[in-house]
Amino acid sequence: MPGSIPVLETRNIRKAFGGVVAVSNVDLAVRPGEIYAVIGPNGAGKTTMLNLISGLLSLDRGEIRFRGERLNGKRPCDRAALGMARTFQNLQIFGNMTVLENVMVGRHLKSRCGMLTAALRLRRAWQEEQAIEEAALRHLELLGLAERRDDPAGSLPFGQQRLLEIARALATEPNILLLDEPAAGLNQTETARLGDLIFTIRDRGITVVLVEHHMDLVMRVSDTVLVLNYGEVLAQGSPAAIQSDSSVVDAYLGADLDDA
Amino acid sequence: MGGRILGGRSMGVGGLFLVLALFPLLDRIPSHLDILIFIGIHAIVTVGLCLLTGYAGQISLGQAAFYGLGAYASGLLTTKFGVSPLPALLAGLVITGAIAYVMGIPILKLRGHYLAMATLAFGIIVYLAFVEFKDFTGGPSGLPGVPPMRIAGLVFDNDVKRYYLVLIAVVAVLAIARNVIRSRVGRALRSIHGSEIAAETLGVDTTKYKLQVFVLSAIFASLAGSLYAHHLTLVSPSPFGFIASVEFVVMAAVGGLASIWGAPFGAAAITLLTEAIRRIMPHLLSYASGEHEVIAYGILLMAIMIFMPEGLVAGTADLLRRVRRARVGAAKG
Repeated sequence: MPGSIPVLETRNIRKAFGGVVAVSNVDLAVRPGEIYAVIGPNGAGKTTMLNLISGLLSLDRGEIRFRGERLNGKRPCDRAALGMARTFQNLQIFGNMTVLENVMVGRHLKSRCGMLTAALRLRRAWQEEQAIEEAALRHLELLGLAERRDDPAGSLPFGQQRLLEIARALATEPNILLLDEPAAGLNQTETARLGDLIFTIRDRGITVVLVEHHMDLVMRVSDTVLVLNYGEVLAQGSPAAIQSDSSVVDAYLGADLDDA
Repeated sequence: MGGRILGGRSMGVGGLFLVLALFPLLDRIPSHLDILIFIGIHAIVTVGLCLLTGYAGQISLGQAAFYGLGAYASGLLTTKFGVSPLPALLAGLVITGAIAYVMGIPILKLRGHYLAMATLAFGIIVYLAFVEFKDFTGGPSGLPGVPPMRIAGLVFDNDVKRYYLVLIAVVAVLAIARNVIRSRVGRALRSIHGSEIAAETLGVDTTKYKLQVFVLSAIFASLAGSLYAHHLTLVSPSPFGFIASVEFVVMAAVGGLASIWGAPFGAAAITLLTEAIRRIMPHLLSYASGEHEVIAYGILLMAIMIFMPEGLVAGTADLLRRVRRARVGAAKG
């Protein structure tokens, strides 16, 4: 049951690149436990929004709050420590590691061993290693990648690399998961399975923010949909309300629905 | 599969270690031992560089500065301040580590070529400090009369003793590096190399880990520098200049950046090559000078990058595997 106090909130945020305003006056409020989709045409500022929320870009103005804390000025790693995880539209797999090792990096915040403990290989260090490996393996199994555990991550097919990013993000045991166009490049079967996966993630108590182009997926899984256009909010509401909103249909949905 | 390869590798490492441990008994030519000591000293620096560049993806063209700081710390503290060699060495590690920490904070914000330029500049500044602060460093002629290393009453006053000292240091440095790699910290370092933004969003404090590995590599270089000072009993600026920094990068690349086990081989290959050129060149060209080494490094590095981009060790292993497969194929056909 989604609560009423937002887990993630943006107030009046703005980001410009030179003269181009990518995000302007966007207010959003994501309630805990919901699946919140952000849609909009190319260049509408969706990925910029995610980069602002996860801290890869800094705000020009406004405020972002997550679980009651103000995020402005916090580094991405500090935001991760607060329970935020994300995936990337342009995959950011660690190509120099195995599949399992990728997910093991996701356990970084859940483990403590520092440089000195590691260098001397104290008992604590290798006990922790085993715990990290077990937890990482559990997340690989959840995503059906356990058989590829020792393969170089770069050798996975594209669709599985997307799943690997999700496994890695889930391994941090986040409160909120930001998915940046997870269906891009996936075929129909894979996209349907992704939808099931998003429900599974939500059922584990993780709030999901979904930036996506794939309308069938968005309409199927979302509780709330935010439509961006030229960096501004065009509409916000339930999937049904969005589909019948004339301004949204004119600006964006029309073409897609005809295609479908 | 992993187990078998590992078994073969540990046997190889064990055999190699045995040969190295018995070497002074088998080969009594003094100059050979001297070269091996230098290979060991260079290997210590190279292992650190391998962690920094190969694992964490951060380049340093100023590693010889940390090597020099260790050497001068040992040289200065023992000759001018009467400190015993071992405390001087430890003080050198702390001083060099602290300098790397302070330098690293601004420098490691830079990436790629910019980081290369900044470390290069740092190396040149430190080298010039060695040359110019004559009151302390003795200027270009350096600090003579560095006493031999002394640990718990044992004086390392000949090449055989020093050979074992350096061998133990190399093994210790390799063990530490291996432990770091096979840990949460090692994975954090590699994740920075793989994708810095992904690492950050997973909670890896990339700034902190870059700084830590930079300091660790500097401490390794400082240890090597101290061993150098006590081996040669003389510290002068020339081995700690820009060319030396480049040599260390070449050693790391030749050995193979992706694995610390390549580092000793890279150090051996380049040290032996330098020695060979030094001996052969004067016979070929009467006006030959040190500059010829640089040409040879350049050619070697280009060849390695083109034909064995993973380095000498991984490249040779790959070559052997291909030869074996071809032979098996021929036998079947």
